[in-house]
Amino acid sequence: MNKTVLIGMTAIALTLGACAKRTPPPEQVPQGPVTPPVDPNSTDPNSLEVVELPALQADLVAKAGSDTVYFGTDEYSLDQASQATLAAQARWLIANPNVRASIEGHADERGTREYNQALGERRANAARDFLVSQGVPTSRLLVTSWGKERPVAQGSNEEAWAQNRRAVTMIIR
Amino acid sequence: MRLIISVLLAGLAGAAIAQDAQEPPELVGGSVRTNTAIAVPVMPGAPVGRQVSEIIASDLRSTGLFTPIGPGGLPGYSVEEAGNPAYPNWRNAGVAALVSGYVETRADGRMTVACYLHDVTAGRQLANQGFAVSGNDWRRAAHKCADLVYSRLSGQQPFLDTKVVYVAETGPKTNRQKRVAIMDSDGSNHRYLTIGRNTVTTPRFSPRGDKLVYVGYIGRRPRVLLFDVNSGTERLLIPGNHITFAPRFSPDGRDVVFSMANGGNTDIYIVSASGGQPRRLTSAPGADTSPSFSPDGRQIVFESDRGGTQQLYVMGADGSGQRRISFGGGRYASPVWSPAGNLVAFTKIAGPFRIGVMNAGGGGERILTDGWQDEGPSWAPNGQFVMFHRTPQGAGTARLYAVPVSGGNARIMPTPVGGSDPSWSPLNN
Amino acid sequence: MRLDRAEWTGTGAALLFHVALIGALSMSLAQVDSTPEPPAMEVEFVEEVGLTAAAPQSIPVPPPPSQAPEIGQAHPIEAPPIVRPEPPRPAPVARPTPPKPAPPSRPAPRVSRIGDDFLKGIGDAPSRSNAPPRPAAPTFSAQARASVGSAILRQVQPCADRQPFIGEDANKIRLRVNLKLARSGRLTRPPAILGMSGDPDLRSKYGELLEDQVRRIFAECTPLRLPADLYDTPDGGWNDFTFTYRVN
Repeated sequence: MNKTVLIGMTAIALTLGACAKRTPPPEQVPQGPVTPPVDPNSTDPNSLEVVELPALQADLVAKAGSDTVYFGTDEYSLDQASQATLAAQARWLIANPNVRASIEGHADERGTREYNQALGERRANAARDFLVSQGVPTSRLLVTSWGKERPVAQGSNEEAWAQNRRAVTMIIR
Repeated sequence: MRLIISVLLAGLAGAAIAQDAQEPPELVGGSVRTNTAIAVPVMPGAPVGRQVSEIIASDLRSTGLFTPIGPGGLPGYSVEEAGNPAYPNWRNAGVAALVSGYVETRADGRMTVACYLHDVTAGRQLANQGFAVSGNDWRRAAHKCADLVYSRLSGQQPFLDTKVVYVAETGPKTNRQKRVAIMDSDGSNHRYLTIGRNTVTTPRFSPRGDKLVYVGYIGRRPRVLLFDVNSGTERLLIPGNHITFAPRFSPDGRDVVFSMANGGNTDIYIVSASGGQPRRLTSAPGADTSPSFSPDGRQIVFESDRGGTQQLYVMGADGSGQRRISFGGGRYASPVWSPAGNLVAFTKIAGPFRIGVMNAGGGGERILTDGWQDEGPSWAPNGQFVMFHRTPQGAGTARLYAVPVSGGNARIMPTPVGGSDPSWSPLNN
Repeated sequence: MRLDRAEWTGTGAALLFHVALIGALSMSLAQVDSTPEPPAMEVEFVEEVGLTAAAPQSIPVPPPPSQAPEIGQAHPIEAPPIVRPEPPRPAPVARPTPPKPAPPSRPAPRVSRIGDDFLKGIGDAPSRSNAPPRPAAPTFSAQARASVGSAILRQVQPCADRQPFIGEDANKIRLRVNLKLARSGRLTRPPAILGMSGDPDLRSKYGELLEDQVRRIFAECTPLRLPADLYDTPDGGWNDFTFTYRVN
């Protein structure tokens, strides 16, 4: 074979070989009793990191109508509209069995920092429980709380606060 | 004859008693609540001498007890005059006290920073202290000098040679970047400890100021992290994959108390700071959070809405004897026990959010601030000041403030950007 | 009952001794007071000068102290103050004299021939030529003592009023203070704190601050203007004055 082609193909092969390695540097050495890797691209099942799936998220919104349900001030009960939305989400999740969901509770700014972290978990937990009651396996659902750390509306008025009191169903790997 | 003698003796005795019973007259001093005018001229030993004087003047102003004069605009003096100033000149300048000193390079290459406090009115020296420092540690010598002055003239314990850790905030509310930051309590030596990729909240110092616990979001969940300030290394404190937050050290630094949320319920747990299995302290239905130890390590104050609304409770460090201590109208949150042991600071929610203090056993409530949303108190190590963050209505970031517990205006802390969740370190050793 | 010669002698001797003792004590008290004080120790305030510091005296100055402590290691140790010879500035140098015992019993107070209002118009230079005629040997009666005491405290009250607030609970302690005054109305040595009363924790927290206030008060509001003839009498005088101090 032509030497040039050989060199060229070697070069290409090496380059492709390099590209095949998608994983970045190895995980940190644990320094305490438990320090799972925190690499966002890790495929290690023990990793704490969670990978969002934006395309499927959009599909959920399109098919179920919304990925978000809303709550009254200092409340975590689901009204009729919320239940209807969650029922639709449950149907989507059952139809898409290869993904999980992180149910994420949020609070408005009119609560103290740590209480709001607890309140967010109450809201997420309420939504998760309803999804389970609609047939979604518990093992596919994670619960978390963002407290008041991630508002979607930045006004200091009732309208903004109402938009921030919510539980969001995040589709994750 | 014996009668005469008896009468004479009785008369003498009576006179003696009358003399002894005479009470000395009483002088009552006024209690003028104006600041003490204190001169802080430039110390000899350029350029550090001027910087030391500026730090001292700024520190004294921050206590709310002094009106510092200078360093600018005041006459200089020599090293020899530092210990023996011309008091009449200073009296004529209208100051009641004077801080003098000097900065000199030592034979070993370090610096001597000397500090003298004078009562100008009475014409005498009240205190002095000196330090040998290397590098930029002269800043600490300046803070220690200011602490000497503050303590001697107020009777309080020092608090100026301290650090603050807090969450620095930038960006709009809907896309906020949050980083753990540390600085001297006068705003200098500011640096970031996290890079801002993950949301962080509530950093708190260990009792010796060498470690922090804080909450970092990893994998979209809040987790308690233990951070070593000197080495910059950190690790997860609690095993497993749980929602954990609201961490605080015990006064002996051995344990960390925190909240864990699960199944719609949040309870308080305690775990060894070196890791291990947490022990559960509360189990009531409701949100139990914001735990804070008493300085003797025997009790914990926390908030709970087990009764319907957020209120303050106290329990033993083993979780026993949980009892409510807040009974004013409104809701109470984020309690912190004073290092002096007698008071608890908190956020009171009654429309606006305000910082208040009450007796650790309940009662004696006083509201200290008047913002729209003031929350997250942290005590100065001498129990005389409380730092907190104030959120403005609408757009904009929160800022840190400090308010004297005895009453007075809150003063803004000099952070480079917005900030929240301050934690005041113990006195630097 | 009749006394025999021995009893008369004994009683008489005892009586004589009592009288002699009383007399001696009465007079010796005054004697002690007028024992010469260390000379030239009056607290004089230098006359006003401009804001610029006076030129330093050219005296040899030892190098500044080198025993300053480390930051971040052991607790800072005492910084030796700059050691140099005391300049000939007036300064309170005398140590406070130990508290004197209360004057022993003396004869029952006599009616003073000095009017009750003799201390009014104290602003006027108290001079014998202006004073109303009075006895050559004024007594320091209880009344005079009280009036002089009021006068002293009245004169220093403006300085006392200027002292700063130091704490809500600072008014729970009291200082017992003794002054030694020269005829000029100035102190001959700093006020001596004879004792403190009140809660021990408050005493350790505030006692020094109260003493600071007393020293400022009497540095600022002296010389006092008091009647010269009551400075030093056989029965006492305002050369030695004890009072208590507290804050509001």
